Amino acid sequence: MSEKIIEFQIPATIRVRELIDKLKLHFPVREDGIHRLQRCYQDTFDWRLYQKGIRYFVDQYPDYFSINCQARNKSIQLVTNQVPVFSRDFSSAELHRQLDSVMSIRALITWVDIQLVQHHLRLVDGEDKTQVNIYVENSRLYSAERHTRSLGKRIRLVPVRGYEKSVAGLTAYLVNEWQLTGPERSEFEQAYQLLDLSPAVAATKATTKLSEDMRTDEALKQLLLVALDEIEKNVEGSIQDIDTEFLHDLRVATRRTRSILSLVQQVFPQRTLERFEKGFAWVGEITGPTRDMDVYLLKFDTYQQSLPQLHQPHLEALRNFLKQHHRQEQQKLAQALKSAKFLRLLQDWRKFLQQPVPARTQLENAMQPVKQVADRHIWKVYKKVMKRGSAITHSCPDEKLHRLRISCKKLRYLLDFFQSLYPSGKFRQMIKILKKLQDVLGDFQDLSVQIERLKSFEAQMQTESLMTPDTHEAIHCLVEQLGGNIKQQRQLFYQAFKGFCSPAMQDQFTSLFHSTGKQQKA
Amino acid sequence: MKIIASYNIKGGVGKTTTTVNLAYLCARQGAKVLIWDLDPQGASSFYFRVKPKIKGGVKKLFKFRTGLEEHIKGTDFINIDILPADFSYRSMDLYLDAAGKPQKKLYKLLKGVKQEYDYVFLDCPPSFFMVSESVFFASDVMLIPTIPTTLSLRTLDQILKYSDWKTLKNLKLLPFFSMVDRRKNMHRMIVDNPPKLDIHFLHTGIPYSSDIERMGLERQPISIYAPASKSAQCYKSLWEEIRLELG
Repeated sequence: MSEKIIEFQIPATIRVRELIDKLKLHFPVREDGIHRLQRCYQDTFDWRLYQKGIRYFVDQYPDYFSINCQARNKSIQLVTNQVPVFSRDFSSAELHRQLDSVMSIRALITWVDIQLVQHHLRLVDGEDKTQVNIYVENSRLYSAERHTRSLGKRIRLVPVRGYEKSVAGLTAYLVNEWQLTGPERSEFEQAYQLLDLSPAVAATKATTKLSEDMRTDEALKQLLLVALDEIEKNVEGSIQDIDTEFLHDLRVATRRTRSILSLVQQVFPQRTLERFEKGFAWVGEITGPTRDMDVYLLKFDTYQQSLPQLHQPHLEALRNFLKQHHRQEQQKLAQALKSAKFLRLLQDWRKFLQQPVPARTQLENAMQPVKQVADRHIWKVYKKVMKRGSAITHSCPDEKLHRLRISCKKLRYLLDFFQSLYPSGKFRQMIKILKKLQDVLGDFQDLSVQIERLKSFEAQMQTESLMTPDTHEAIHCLVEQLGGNIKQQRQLFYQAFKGFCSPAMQDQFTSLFHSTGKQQKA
Repeated sequence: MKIIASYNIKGGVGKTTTTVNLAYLCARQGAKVLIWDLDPQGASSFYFRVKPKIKGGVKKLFKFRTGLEEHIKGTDFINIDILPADFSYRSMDLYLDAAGKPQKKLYKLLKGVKQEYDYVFLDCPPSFFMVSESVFFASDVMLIPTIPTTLSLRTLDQILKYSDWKTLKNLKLLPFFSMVDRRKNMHRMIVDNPPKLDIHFLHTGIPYSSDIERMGLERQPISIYAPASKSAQCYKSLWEEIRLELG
């Protein structure tokens, strides 16, 4: 159903029963019953639907669910036996198409919980065929802490396809006889304001605006606090395994923290630095195995489809093996993220970052203007990337590409971290080109790691007696295929690196990060 | 979009009840479903309380490129729409004959709605003419409700022998027993020893029951007014079996 829904607000002075009785008197309206139901407005953790102007809610009836997806110009309503969590769960291809590109791999979670009393009426013809569904709703916002609050009464007219004209009489009656008007704010807007949710703010990435002459220690503390917020924001979702992006984002924020700590030396006291470097390295370790399994499971369908039809069903044993091990790793991860060690690490880190910087310090870089330190470090890592990239030949070992990938990652973290110090236009272009190179190197690295890991999974499956000759053959075929892809990927590197070390890029890097150096030389 | 036809040369074998009940079960799993009531008698349209009328009739449907969309009606069930029957469908063969490549005509018309629907159920008229050929070409699955009697088995044999289903790579013929009355010796004997065919005979059979007959009065799928009945349970199993066949 994708018809235009008409909605009116019912003032508190109008009694619902009176309105329904009058409707029944004036129109062939049947009353289908009263439902007490729960309505959940859902979105991804980072409000992807909201950003695209999509409102999505699920009504829970006693024996089914009604899914409602309202985009700018279209509204889709469907019933189903199960509540979809991921876009792949939608049986309707139309809904899947609409939401998949927006949600990607993120899960839907409930943001707003409403309880409502819904009167369902139907405008019918002589055959008792529904022409317009009429919903009179009295809703209350539900929150465990704040009890419930009224969201008022509404009447929704949902014309059935092919009978759109029938809604006109009802609309005119409600407007002229009852002086009803459209709601000032939607039910969802009303609800999220009452809950102090800010989807528009939550959807944007937190950034910190630095000034060029700020002390480096102070600037770094601010930046690292943003990364810590990002880590903390994703802990609960990682424990609950809502979707794989929670753990991914937690790991990225952790890696950024580690990178900055190791790259920018002489800013924080050495002992403090060592303690937290060690602490975040441990976070990297405890989150690694689950992320590994996530990656394999996310790519599994692609792997399977890349195989000849004959082998495809036999790869299922590997999927089951991965799922089982994922469950085990996830349990270990949840325990670690709930542990006193982890909580203390984050608490102490926050405490340190929130402490004011000392008025005086002997640390070489601490009191220097952040722009100078950033310029110097970015330039240093950039030179390293250039050197390592130029040394890549057709016959060099894979290890060299791996090391280049690490340098590119470091450069990217530095650029991301200090981006507010530089003009955004040029910067964005540079990051875009660097990202292209990183993608190629990342894919190359993923492939070589995957081949090795597949071999180890295979051995593990043998030990656990989960291997059949067919599965062995399917995995072998997959390994061969990935080996072929790795060669192609190496070819792509040269193109990507050519873009990165173009004269224009070199000029941009020099002008942005080495102008002082040049002047000094001059 | 999967196209599922409910077809038999014989009338009164349960084609329409199959269409209505399976379409409902399919829709309850969250899929968007269109039923095309191709039978001029309009039984599916009747069950859904929709007037068996297409504006301009089959002539307009086939002549203009506007497609099926403007004729589709919503039913009382949120995920199910219907393209109602029309009395003019009785001459559909003539219009198909006049159209170029008549075998592909229905398929071409249905292509226009493939973005919107996940499943299309074709409730076919009991015939063996051009409409059937076009249905054969369009469908992914053809369900053949078969009463366990000698004559019905003979009809099934004729369908397999004379239709060109073997040339259609994507078509899967799925006969199943319908209106099974285990009080009758012959029904018992045939159901317990189904005919050996080149094609897969579905395991689930639909019993002959007064619950199903009540559909004419209730004008809704059996899973709504008698969800716990044996017939409703059988339709559920049948749909699950068909889903597995669809892959």
